[in-house]
Amino acid sequence: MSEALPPDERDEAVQVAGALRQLAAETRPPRPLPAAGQLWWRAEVVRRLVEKQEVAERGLRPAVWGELAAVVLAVCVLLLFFGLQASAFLSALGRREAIGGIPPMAMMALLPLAAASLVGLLLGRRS
Amino acid sequence: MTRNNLEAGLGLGEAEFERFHARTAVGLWAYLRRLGGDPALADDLLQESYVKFLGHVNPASEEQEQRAYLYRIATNLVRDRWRQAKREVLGIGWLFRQWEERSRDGSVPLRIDLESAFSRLGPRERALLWLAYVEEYNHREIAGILGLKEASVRVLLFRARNKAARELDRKEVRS
Repeated sequence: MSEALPPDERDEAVQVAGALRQLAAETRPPRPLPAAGQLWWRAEVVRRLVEKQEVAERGLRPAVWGELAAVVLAVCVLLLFFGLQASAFLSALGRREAIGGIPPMAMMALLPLAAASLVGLLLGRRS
Repeated sequence: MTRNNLEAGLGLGEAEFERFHARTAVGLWAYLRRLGGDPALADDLLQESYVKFLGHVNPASEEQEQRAYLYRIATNLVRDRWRQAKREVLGIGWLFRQWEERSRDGSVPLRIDLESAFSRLGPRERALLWLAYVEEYNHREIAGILGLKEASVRVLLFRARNKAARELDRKEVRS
């Protein structure tokens, strides 16, 4: 301990340091500690595993971004469609007629499916 | 893959690490043993500390800095284990292990006085005193290892020393 102490604290420090050094001298491992070579190789194995994992993650990155881009695109198309076709769609629903050849009931069924897929994809990405 | 290629990946080469390990292992084990209170835990954390150290150590740093870094890793691992033990629903198992350990070590009368005096201190006080008086780190290094401010180390160390001296007087530890 390199810091200088006031004289009144010095005796106390000497007493505590002496006791601690005695305790340290008595504290010895009951069995041989693992060899340095063993620890070094263990660290090397861990390093290689981490490196492998990082390479795999890097490889997956384009797929993950592609998936996100697909979701964003789907949302944009959905919003655009409803922005342009909402009034025609709702009135067709009221008359129970088809819009552009797609039966309205089928479109109604597709909406929750699309929403569920979107939520599922986002939750899947988070976990 | 050649040995040279392998060694390029870790902070220290095998031979260099062997020398570092020979100079630090017993001291680090004693620190972990006294800080955590359990020899088996000290065994585990010693290995974990060296593995983490090798993965992250700066090879260009001085040996004293590398030692301080090793102790910082070890201290953080002990801290993590305490947090984990606190979170365990059946934390009573941990308490029993501590109690059994203390009972086993109580077979030597001289040691029980010193040990029980030391074990009455809080974990941070134990770490502060050990690093200051056994490992002989200065305040700045201790602050780095324990994640404290340098100015706080002076005050905390003063309090820890007072408390330890009171415990030693109370126990009348024989030298």
